[in-house]
Amino acid sequence: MNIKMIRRTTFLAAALFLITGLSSVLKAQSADITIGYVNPQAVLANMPEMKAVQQRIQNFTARKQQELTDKEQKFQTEVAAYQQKAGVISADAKAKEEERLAGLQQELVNAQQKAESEVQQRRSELLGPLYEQIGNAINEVATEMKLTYVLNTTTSTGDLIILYAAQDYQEKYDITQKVMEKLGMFN
Amino acid sequence: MKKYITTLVFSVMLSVAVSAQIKIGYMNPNQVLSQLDEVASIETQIEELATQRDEMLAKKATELQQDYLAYEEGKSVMAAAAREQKEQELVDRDSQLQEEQQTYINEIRQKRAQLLQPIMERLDNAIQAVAKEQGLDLVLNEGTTYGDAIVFYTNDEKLNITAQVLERVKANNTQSN
Repeated sequence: MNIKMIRRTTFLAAALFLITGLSSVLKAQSADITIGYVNPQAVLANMPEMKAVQQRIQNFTARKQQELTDKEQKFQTEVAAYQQKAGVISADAKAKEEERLAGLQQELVNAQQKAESEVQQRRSELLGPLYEQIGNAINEVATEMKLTYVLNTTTSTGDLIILYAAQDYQEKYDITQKVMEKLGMFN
Repeated sequence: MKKYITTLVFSVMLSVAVSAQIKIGYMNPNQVLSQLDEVASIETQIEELATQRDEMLAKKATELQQDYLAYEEGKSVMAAAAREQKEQELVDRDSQLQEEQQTYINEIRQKRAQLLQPIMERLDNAIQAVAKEQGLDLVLNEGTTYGDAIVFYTNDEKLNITAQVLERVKANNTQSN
């Protein structure tokens, strides 16, 4: 091995060292942020438990609706009874009766609001565990894929958050399908 | 020697290219829609339709109200059976009216979506074309239709492709006309 060869090898080794070092610095700088995204509504809609949950929500809503209709009818009957006797009772009694009816009407409005929030609560009670499963599956998929972020594609009001994803990006980073697989769908 | 170095340089370039950062643009679809004449004319059309239906339903509601008052006045001289029948009729008409109101709201909503559909498609195509041109991986929505911001800030205004998308949607329109 002559001197020239040694020099050459040293130079090469140094160059290699420098360049790999440089490339890792570059890599670190562009710190590979990876962003995946998922449509949880699509996952939810495809969950096998969803049918039963929806049925239960529907039943609950129908029951609350019936309760409200009954209350309303009772109120209407009271109003009709009052109208019948309104002409023949004293002004004092009339005022009292009207006040009572106004109170009943307020109760009706309150009952309506209460029913609405009860339905809402029942919904989240039933859907909560499903969302939790989805959340866990997202975490698992994201960890496996070493993703930095997972974004939601759509808001609950139907607005898109992600308007577009390039084809190759979509194939790689739309993890909706993977999340469903993780949850044991399509098996 | 030269060969080695070329390979090395090439491999470095490759590794940089592979770890190339994700490119994210954003835009505001509602801003584009609000600047299209066709959308404005669809909104006018929908409004007219809504006004017509409103008037029709208001007329029905007034009729029902009047019938109810007439019944209230005349019921003392009615037979119990006739009275019950009339009451049932009024209740039925009332719930029918409410149902009609609900269907009409849904119908209007559907009609609007249906009329906007081709424009939405054009908007989608325009977003795709602009994104491809600019080599974007993702395009985010700037904000929801309810006015919530999704993107608050960017240090590079060029990443907002709303203007380009608008231009392209308009251009595609003149082509198809």
